[in-house]
Amino acid sequence: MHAPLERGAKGRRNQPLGHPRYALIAAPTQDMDPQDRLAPNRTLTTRNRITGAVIAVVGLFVVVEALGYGLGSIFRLGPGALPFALGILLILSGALVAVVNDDGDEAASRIAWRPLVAVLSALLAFALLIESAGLLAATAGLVIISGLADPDHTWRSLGAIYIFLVVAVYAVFVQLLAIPFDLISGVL
Amino acid sequence: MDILSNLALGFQEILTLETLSYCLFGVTVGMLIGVLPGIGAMAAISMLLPITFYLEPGQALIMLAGIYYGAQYGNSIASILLNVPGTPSAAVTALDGYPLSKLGKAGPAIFITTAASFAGSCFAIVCLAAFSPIIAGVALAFGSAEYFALMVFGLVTASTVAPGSQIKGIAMVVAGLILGLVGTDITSGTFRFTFGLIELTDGLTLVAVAMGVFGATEVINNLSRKMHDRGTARRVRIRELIPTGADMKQAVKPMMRAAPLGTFLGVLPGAGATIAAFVAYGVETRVAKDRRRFGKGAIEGIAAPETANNAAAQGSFIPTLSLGIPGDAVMALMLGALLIHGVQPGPQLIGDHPEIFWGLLASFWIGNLMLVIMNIPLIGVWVRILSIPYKYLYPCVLMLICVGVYSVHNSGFDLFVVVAFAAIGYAMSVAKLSPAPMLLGIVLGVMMEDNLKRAMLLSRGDPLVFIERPICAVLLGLSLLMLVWPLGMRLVRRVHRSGA
Repeated sequence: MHAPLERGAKGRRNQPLGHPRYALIAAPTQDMDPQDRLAPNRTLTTRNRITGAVIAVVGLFVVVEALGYGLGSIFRLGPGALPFALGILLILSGALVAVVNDDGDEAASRIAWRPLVAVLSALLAFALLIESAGLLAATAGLVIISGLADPDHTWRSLGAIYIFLVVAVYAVFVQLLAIPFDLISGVL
Repeated sequence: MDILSNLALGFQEILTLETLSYCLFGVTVGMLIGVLPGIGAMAAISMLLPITFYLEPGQALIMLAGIYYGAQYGNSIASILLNVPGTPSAAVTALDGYPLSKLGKAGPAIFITTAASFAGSCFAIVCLAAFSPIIAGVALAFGSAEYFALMVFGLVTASTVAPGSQIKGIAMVVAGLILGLVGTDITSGTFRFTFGLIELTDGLTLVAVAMGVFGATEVINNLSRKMHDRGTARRVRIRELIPTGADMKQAVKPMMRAAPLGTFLGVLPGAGATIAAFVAYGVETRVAKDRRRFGKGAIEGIAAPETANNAAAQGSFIPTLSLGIPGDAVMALMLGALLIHGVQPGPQLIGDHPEIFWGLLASFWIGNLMLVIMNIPLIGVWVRILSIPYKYLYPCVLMLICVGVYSVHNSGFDLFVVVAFAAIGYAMSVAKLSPAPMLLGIVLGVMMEDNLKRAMLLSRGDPLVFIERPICAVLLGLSLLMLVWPLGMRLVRRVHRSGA
């Protein structure tokens, strides 16, 4: 009964687990970039140091802010009491993260700058344009900028996605669910 | 039998074409709304509330309730296929549901989710019918101190939910609690962590945070793995959509554990359903022989939270109807619908309007059956979404995130929250920090503070209150055990390994 289960447990991470039949329909699933496995675990230790430090600094900031809100008394806890306690906890856990490495068999992954910047800018473009310029422009911004994340995109493929999205969003969200999007701000 | 005659009354009440069609309408709308992230049951129910003025009170409640639990079903679909959870409990399902779908098992995953939801609901309905008054009594025995202890327990479990490091899980829970406190302090009116932004005085929009740390982050990660050539058009046959016997067998025990757990936690007003999903998942990782399978596509990891979450969704009707205490905003709207019709919710509701109470219970059962019947043929349609090349899929996912988040409060500011949390979420994924525990922290932050303050006020500042009250002490003891257990085990293993 546990056969498929244990296979998955012992197998490497990017090996399909479960019933062998699924291996047929599962198109090559890449759980992670091949480079990831080559990344030495030392990288993760360094990253944990940085992560822990960042967490502790955030905790310190929270503690300082909380002191400004007022701690109150134990009988009548002030607005700063819980944030203060949580900030202390955050500093402690940050220190532990930096010192103890208990990630198990996880490996560090590389930072993917191109998709990261493209996706963030695409979302930002939509956020900036939706209320000032309307749905048509915001969607165009989102589609074109997010298209930069994948070099395979052409103007034609992006155009097709754009038309599909505008029509679908207009039909479902604006017409059906009455979400107040303007196609072009102040005009439509 | 009393229960049987009561249920018979209920079924008699709803087995008319008219009532059944309202039920069907409710669950269908709920499911479709649930699939779209952002627009939750809350928005759908407020939109349909005016329609209910023209219905019988019983029918109105049946339709609104249908939206509520229908949305619970729909929610899991987007999390399994695209890792875009609209609610924290769907985020738990995404933990293993999304890896399953990467392994090509999206069909079986959705099938099991459907089955688990149905099982959880059925169990809760039977409990509701049999023990409703007793359960309501238990809920009343929970004071502020007990709620605080329960939340601590939920949060500790949530920290163990994260795959990988548990210390990081705890750090994320704490960070989530702090994020949850962003906004105006209820008792003093102090603005906390708002940095002068008026939009932040109401707190962070949970959906916006969830979409950033889960949905957007996942898109970036997928693009970096060059996933776009993954989904070449392939034919999906019906047989491949249905889980194997082994899969089902693996799902049965988690469901049996999660159903009573979910029902019980659902009864407690507040974040019952969310805590239930996290705790059920946490229990599975503790019970399992190999904890490392979780987060990589473990069947138990979707069966347990989905069962618990749906059982809790049904369970939350107990305090709403029998005590008149709404557990969340959605329940408050439902109470509103009853009040509009002049029906007073409260302990006397079951006695005064048995047809409404038992009719609603019976409708749960019918409604859940409808959802199962509707969902199984739909699985094929859902899975086909995955055969769209990723190149075309990801701009659509980003668009879905933006539009979904905007629709929550019609707020452009929330979109900037998404951008910020997409960046934070990616940094977290690089640092191997799991976002799921953080979400529960955000949900519980204010509630936990509120109960802590009240408990301290009632005990006149005596912290011993948490140890003196038995339920409290047990919950806190369990939390401590859960914290110490894995750390102890790890130490033992390390010593063992270095010795060998």
